Amino acid sequence: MVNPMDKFTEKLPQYLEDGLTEIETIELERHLAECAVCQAEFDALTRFDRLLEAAPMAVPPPNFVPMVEAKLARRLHRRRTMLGMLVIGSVLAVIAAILTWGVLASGAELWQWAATDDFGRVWFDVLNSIIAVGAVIGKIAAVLFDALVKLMRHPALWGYVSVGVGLVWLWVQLFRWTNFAHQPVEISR
Amino acid sequence: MSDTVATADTPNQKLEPQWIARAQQGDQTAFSQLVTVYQKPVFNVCYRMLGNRGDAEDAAQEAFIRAYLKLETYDAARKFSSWLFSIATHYCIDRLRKQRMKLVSWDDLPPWRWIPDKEAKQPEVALVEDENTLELHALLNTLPPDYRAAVVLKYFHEMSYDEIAESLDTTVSAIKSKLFRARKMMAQTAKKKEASSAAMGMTAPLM
Repeated sequence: MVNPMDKFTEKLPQYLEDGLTEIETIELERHLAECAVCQAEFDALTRFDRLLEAAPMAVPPPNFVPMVEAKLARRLHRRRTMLGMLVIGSVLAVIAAILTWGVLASGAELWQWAATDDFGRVWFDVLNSIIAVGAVIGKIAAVLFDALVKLMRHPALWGYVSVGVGLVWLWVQLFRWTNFAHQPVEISR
Repeated sequence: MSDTVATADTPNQKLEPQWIARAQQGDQTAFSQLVTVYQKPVFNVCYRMLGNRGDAEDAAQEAFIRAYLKLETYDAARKFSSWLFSIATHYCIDRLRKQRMKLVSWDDLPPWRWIPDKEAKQPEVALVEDENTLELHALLNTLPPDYRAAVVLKYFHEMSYDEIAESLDTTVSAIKSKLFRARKMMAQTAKKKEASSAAMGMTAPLM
């Protein structure tokens, strides 16, 4: 069974939002004046409004603006740092990948060179020379120098150096660009 | 509310487009002018949404920072205050939803939950100004975050249905429905509070 007062209580929120017609408004106001139950419902609905009238506008602390500026400066700095780290990480990853590829690709060739008679003889000479202490350092230096010269003649090495220099130059340009794009925040005092 | 500040003052409204344009080009001084003008309404939205000054301060700062970082996406055809409130309310809604994930159901709580415990040294209780504010926030706290956002924008900042709908990325009819339901929910809360106060032999505070 429908409570006859429900038709009034259901209209109360609309009444508060000025959503009723003029006739409905008059009818409801007349009913509110007579019905204690609906008046109690109305009071409950308008409790928020009464509290709202007494509520002041919340005021931020006096240093709110400088705090926002400082926080913004930190956030921008962190973004720049993260971008820089991302670029550096990317460059290092690319260099590491290229060098790994180079080592794996040329590993067999280098191993073949190490297994030649020249390489074995040099180290045999070194071992023989251990007895002659004065010649040891010179022999080792000669072996290392020989190895270095052979490595330098390896064409892939020059490729690695060129790619590495190019990537570092690219990173420097990107870092300069990001610094230019985000000027430091001025903090008002 | 007697001290409602919803939009910028008239002189600022003339300068506002210039500040926005300059801020979009990376001028932080111009952005600081916008922060100065809107700090009070944005802080108030966050305070009424979150219920305590500490969280509100943090949220308002975050809202301004997000606004600066997203300033390039701002459409000049849109009202800046609505766009700014949109960022602030969405941030608060997300924050409240994350908080609610950790809470138990409201209905599972005992009836004396409405009575502020003045003995407890909780920061949010210590910071609220008076009993009216406590009760106001107790009522707002019963609402889902998106309902609360609509109520705060409508009644604290006197925004139109269109502006609220734009700020909350929804329709006018959805906003009207939320405000209607919010009012009923708050009324039920108020009645429960009176009943629990009466059961404990206390007199409900008169408005």
